[in-house]
Amino acid sequence: MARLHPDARKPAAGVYNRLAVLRTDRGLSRQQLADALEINYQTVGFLERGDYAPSLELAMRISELFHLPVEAIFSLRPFKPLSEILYGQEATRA
Amino acid sequence: MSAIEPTHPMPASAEQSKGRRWRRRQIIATYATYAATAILTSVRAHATLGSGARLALGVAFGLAVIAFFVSLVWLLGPGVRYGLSTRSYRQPAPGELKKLKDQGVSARQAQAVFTRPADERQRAIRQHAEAISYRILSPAIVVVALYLIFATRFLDHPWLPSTEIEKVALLAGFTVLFTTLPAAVIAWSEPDPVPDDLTT
Repeated sequence: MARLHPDARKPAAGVYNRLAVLRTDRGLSRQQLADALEINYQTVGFLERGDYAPSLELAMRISELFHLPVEAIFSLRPFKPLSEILYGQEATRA
Repeated sequence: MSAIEPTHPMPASAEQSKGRRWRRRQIIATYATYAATAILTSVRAHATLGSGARLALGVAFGLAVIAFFVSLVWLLGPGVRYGLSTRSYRQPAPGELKKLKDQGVSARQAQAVFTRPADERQRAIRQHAEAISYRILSPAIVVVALYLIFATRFLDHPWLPSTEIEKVALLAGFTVLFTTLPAAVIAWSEPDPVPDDLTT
């Protein structure tokens, strides 16, 4: 069984996502991401907090924007930390 | 232009919205000032008062009406901002309007730059607010109708709108409730706006 992220809490919308990590990784503000997706800036905050689950259409636009598959951004189960995926469990124990 | 380059770069502080606590106070103020106006209307219509008391009542009535209209405008504002409108708005950044004007952009075109269709979450909260309003108003209408029909049968001295101004006040109350309740539901339930974390 996959180990869950210790801070993983069930989002209100029921869908976990990596939107905040990806956005900051690309150096984007919430407003810039909202403009690129043609949505309201506050909606980005709702998505990141897991308070709102996007429609399939919006989820696919987000995946297209980040050039990543949808399942790399959204999941019904908590994501493992990216550092653990990239460097293995040793990195998270250190 | 890359796929993630913004179409409308905007500083983090450009879109400012009031916090939930402030919005809730505003909603309470709006409906409370309406209630005060309606009660004062009824008192003025029925009470026998001296000239001094009548003047004081008139002043209180005038102030309640002004307070009601001011808070009504403030109530609708957050509702529009939070998605009651079919359009999504953003405030222009400092100097942005002047820059557009210098480029020969008309006022109508400039307005289009700062509006866009409401997104899917905004449409969803609007529909949710309208559904909640329907659930509140439906039983309220039934209760008021039952009171107006049966009050004289079961109560000794029931209040009923007898003068023209009382009837107008009751009609105005229902009109205000019908038209502002979805906005009030949105403004009441939406959480505090999230500040942006990166500036460019």
